[in-house]
Amino acid sequence: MFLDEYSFLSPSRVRCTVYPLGGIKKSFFVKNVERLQRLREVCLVDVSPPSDSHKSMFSPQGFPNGRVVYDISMSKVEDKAKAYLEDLEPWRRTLCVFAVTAYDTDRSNTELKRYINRLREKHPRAILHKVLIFSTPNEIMNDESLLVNNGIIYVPSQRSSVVTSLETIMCDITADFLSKLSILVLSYQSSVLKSPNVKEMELLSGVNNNQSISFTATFKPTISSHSPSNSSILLPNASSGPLPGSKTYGGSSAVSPSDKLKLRAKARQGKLLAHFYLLSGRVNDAFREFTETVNICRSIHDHLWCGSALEGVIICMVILSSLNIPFSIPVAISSFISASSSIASTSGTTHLLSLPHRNSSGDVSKSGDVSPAMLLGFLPELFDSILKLYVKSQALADESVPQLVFCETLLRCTKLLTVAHLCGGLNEIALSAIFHQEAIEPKRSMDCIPVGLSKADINSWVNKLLFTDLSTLPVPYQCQIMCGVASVYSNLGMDRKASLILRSVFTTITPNLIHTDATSGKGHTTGTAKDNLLPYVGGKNETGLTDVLDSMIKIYSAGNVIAKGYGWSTLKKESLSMCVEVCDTVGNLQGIIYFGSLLLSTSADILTSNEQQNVLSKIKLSVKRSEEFGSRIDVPYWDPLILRGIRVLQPSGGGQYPPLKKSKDIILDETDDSDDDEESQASGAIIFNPFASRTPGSQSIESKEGVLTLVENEKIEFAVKLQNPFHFNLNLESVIISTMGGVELECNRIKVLLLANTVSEVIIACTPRGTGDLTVTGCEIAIIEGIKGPYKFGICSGVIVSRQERIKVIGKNSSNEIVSQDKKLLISGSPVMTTVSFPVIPKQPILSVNHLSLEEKCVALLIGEKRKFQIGIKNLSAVDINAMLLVFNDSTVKPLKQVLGNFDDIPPNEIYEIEYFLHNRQALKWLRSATCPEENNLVVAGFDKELEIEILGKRGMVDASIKIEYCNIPADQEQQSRLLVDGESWVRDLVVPINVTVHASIEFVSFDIVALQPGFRFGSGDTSNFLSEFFDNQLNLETIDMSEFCLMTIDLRNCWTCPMEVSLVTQIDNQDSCASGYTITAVINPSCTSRFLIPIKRIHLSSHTLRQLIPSLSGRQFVVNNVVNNEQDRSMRELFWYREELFKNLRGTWHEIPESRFDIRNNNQNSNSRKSTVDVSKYGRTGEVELRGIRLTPDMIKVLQVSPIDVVVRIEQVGDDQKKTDAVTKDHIDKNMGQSVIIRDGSEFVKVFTKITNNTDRNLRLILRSIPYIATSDITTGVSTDGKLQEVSTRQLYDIDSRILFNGVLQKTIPQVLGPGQSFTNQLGALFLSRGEYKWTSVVEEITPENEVIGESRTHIQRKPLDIYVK
Amino acid sequence: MSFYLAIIGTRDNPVYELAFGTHRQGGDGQPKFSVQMKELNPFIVHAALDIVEDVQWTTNTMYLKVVDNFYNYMISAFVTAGNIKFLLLHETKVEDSIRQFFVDIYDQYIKTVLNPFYAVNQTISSPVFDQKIRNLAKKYL
Repeated sequence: MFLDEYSFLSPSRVRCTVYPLGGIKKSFFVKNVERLQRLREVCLVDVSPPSDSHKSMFSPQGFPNGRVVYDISMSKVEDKAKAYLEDLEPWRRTLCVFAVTAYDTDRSNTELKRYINRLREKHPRAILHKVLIFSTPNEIMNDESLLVNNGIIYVPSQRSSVVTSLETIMCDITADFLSKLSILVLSYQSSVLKSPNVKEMELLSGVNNNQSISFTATFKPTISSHSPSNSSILLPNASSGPLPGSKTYGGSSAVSPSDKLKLRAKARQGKLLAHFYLLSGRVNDAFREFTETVNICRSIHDHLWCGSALEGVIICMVILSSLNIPFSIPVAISSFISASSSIASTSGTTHLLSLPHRNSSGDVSKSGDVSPAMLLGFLPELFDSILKLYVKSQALADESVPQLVFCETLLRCTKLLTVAHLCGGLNEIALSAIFHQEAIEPKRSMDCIPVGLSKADINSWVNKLLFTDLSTLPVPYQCQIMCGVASVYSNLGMDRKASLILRSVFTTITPNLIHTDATSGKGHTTGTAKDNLLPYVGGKNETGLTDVLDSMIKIYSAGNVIAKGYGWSTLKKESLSMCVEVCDTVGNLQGIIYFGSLLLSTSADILTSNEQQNVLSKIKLSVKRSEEFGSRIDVPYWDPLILRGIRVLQPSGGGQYPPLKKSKDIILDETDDSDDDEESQASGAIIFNPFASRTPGSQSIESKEGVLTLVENEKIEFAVKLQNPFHFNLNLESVIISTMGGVELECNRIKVLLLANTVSEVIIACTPRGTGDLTVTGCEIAIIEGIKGPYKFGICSGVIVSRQERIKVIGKNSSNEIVSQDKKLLISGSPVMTTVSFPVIPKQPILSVNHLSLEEKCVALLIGEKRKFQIGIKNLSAVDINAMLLVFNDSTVKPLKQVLGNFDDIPPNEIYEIEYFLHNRQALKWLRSATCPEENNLVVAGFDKELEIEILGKRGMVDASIKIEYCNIPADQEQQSRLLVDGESWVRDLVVPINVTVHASIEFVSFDIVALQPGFRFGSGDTSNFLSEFFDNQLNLETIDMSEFCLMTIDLRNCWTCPMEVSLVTQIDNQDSCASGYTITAVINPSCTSRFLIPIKRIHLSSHTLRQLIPSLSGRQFVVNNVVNNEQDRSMRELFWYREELFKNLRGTWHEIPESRFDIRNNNQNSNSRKSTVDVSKYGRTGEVELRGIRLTPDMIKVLQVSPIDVVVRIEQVGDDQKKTDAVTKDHIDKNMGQSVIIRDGSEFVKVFTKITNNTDRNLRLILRSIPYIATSDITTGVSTDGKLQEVSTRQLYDIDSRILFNGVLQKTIPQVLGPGQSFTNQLGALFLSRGEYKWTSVVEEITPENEVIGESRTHIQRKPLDIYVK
Repeated sequence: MSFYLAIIGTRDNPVYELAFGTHRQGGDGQPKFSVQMKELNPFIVHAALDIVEDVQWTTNTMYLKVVDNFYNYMISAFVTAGNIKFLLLHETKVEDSIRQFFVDIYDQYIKTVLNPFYAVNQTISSPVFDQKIRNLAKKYL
């Protein structure tokens, strides 16, 4: 480690230069110099005293505690230019010269001696010349003869020698040095010491050196009065008198000019001696001599020398402090310190003075030791005094202080204060740091920094230095001092200040470099500047310059490409431009490229077009030149965000590969598990499960965002968005998409020309090979323009836009905050880097439609008509289709679904109706081949297949479409899992649209139900005959009562232009389960309405059935309807279930009769339409009659249903009863139930049988109420029994009691509980007293129902009253 | 006489910059910096931040008076509560005027910060702000 040239203790160090000798390697040289440097401090106690007494002036015995410190440097340049300062500051002189070489057996002693002589010739001003032969073998070391030498020292190799051996050598050298120093001092005694300016003039006249004329230029240390330290420095003319409190040496007025000269010479000699004492380590002697000199110089107003000596005193005090040797402040020095200073506090204490003082010098030292802390207290004041003295010296031009001396002194003082600041005072750490030049860990706590040592105070000291306007100095000195200043600033952590200084260093050097370059071809100046510059900022080797510049620009945040929010863009640009300039001047290609690209990265927005072009051409040229030198320098492309995004272009419909979609039906179809399907529907209908449900449309959102699925081996196009924010065009040699993960992507290499200031998208065609997840991480872009590549770039999808968080860090540390990876701290403007992922699924087939059996894709249908057609498909790919599904859609679906959408207003039965049309009446149907069902879904690669579709004419249909979804589900389980995601599969689809025209055919017009009575007979006419024939033939009237039937009337209208033959069919279930059908057929002419009568058996539905909810075909959730009350709800359910039951057994078909056949049909119809032998299906259209228009009303239900409790009344004359046996009677009674009765003789007794049948599924307790009454028609012509017309009152007329006598009660509780299906017959004797027409009806009431159902009727009325005619 | 005012955010970023001249003594309000100095102004002010960051913790006042010198130029500083620094490069020592000038700028700055569309450390580009600062400069300097 080199010693700091501007260390405060620099004047106490022996300048020493080391040269390499002979052919040794650089590493060997450097290594050994470092060894020497480690041992640069030599304690005087170890040094042997000189034998000669005349050389004992600097005998180490004089001050055993002292040390000689060598400042060993490798600098080749001897500072001859500074030689003129050596009288004032003799420590500047290089006193020792060492040559370092390796041991060589061939080298003779005489040769070595020649080396020594040459060294002496070359460096005549040095006093000690030595040749150090390193790595000497041990056997030679033992050779005593060699060790006695003249300046040649053998050093054993490091391995074999211990440290002490070299140390011993250093001690020997020191002893030699001290004795030589005594001789040097003797040589000085005769000479006259002159001030630098005088000396310089002499030198100039002697040496013909016109170059250094500018040295003589006087400078003005314009120390401003407003410096923060408030130390007002008097200008030279302001005060020429002695300082207050100073003790003059004999009084200024008393000294005559000749005495003054004598005194001056003496003082200067004393100062010289003091300096040599200091170098030789005898600090106490130096301290004494310096003090004396100060005293004398002050008295004779030799300000320059006085100031210099005062500095020496301070140095001695610091060294003594660091050696822990007590001392006290001499009076001569204390006079410089104001009373208020800390010295005053120690004045009271009496203490032995351990420092020997010569009383002859006349100074009375103040008693009391000085602690380092106290020393620090008055250090600034002493420094101030030095400056004042120097300023005063300017009164005389000859004696004025040289600027260099002024600045360097100031810098040394500042360095001392800096160390004190960093260590929190002049404590042991600080002293040892100063003495041994150790690195200091700066203390950051504020409280331990003593007053007057704050950064601002130190800054004011530095400002004083800068006020002197360094530009008048020669450039190398300027740079040296500036670098010293910069190191002070950077030590203090004032990086911005340091950067400012460094910047001015570079701005100062650069033009000079160019100048030198032009004249002498990169000569002396470049080397000097660089050499001088580097030690102060830590760089040593070739990259040093770049490092220095880099550390400088970092302060302007120019080194960080990403930190957008930090720093000052103007400064960034300026400093980077300067760096490029400097590197360009020096010819540092690496630097040009590095800073050039940084400049483009960070400041492109504020650079003009010309500037950008300029930088670019510089970079290009540098790359080219580096290529010529054989070591190409890599340039990172300056815009890391060139890639703005990558997206996949959606394959269009017309492209080579149709797009993929997601479908879950195809998998359900594959498994074909209907149970599972139902189950899921059922559970979905009742329980709403928010977790199970998939968010609808989530896939569509996904696909909208552009996350596409790629297919193996299918070409896909990526659109890559690239930006060029610069003012020049960019030639991209190749752009390839780079991926991560298992799937290989085959890319077409493309070349792109990016125009200036554009963002453009380029399209790259790629083919994924293999399946899995394809993650696109970015692009590999090779940028031409002489820039090496390709480089990988990530995708920058945008910038973070967020409001700023709280500000926690300020100033230059905030740049680190930005760079930190903590996301919370990322500020707006930082780029967001992303990757894009695509799943790649196994190879998929492609299908196309070959032909369609419909002409022009059109079909015309009548409502209810069915037609078949074929679609021919062909598998174009090399992959089999093993899963295929047809999804049908038509124009009726959408309106129906819309209606269902707002089902709140629709009653559930209507919802069912809509759903029925939606789900059970589908317009299209795929007729799969039943023979080999597994082949239905299979289309072998390259083969054709024909699909058969059936289409049904639906009202309102105008178009339909068939979507063929297909895919290849691979057998491999792993591959399959890629295709099937979340129970869904990726499929392709093929849509076949069909235009449909639907015409009306047979329209339902109206409907009614008529009850049939027991014993009902049909009248004449075709239909009636047909019906009676049906009842006669088909049904056994012996066993079945007519009242079990009712008659439907359906009116149908032919809306088509051709006559239609319509057949309506009902299935009639008998109790003995032999179902028999009833078919009625009729021809309806166009625009005609025809009525159809259809017998239908009454429907019996259990109460359990009726209580069921109206089902939902779409599996919708049940919602309690608050609008409908219970009664309405019950009736709605009844209506629904009866209607459903009706439709089960009822269907109708129609056949179109073409015009040509119509006549024949007409004839046939007349004869016997029912038994038409013509097979109509062969020659016309055929279809189903839409009967769902039938709506039931509650009254119709009454007719249609089997009564829950059936009450039938029969009257029998007693006479008849007597004639027949009981068995026959029973049969007879049943048969004649409900038929009207004619009683011929009014005087006869009759029996009234009332049969009650329980048709419900419950046990019932019942009360029967028989209600006979007089039929209204006969009331007006009431005839008495005796045949006379009587005047009867209305009351009498209606008084049934006076007309009928009863043998029993009319109201009676049925004694037994009637079970389901059981019946009970009540018998009642009666006698009709009066002739006339009567009716007999009954009411049955349930009592205390066991299982009461609210709202269900508990009173049952006889279906039809019995008519009784009494004659 | 010429002045250079810079408002500097917490990230060493300039929020506002203005170079102006005095209106006193027949000045026309235009800065008369030399070319070299003009280029150097931001650097000097930037370097002075080092001192400001040191001095601001030693005092309770916002106005830090003259914190730094650069040859004949002085740099006065004012630190707001949110650690935004107002720095003024000037040639003569007029403490009171500069103090009032800074206090009034602070007033204007607070008004800017109150704007919900303004985020801390954003560059102030409002022409109204600019005009008001110019008026203040005319009034005090």
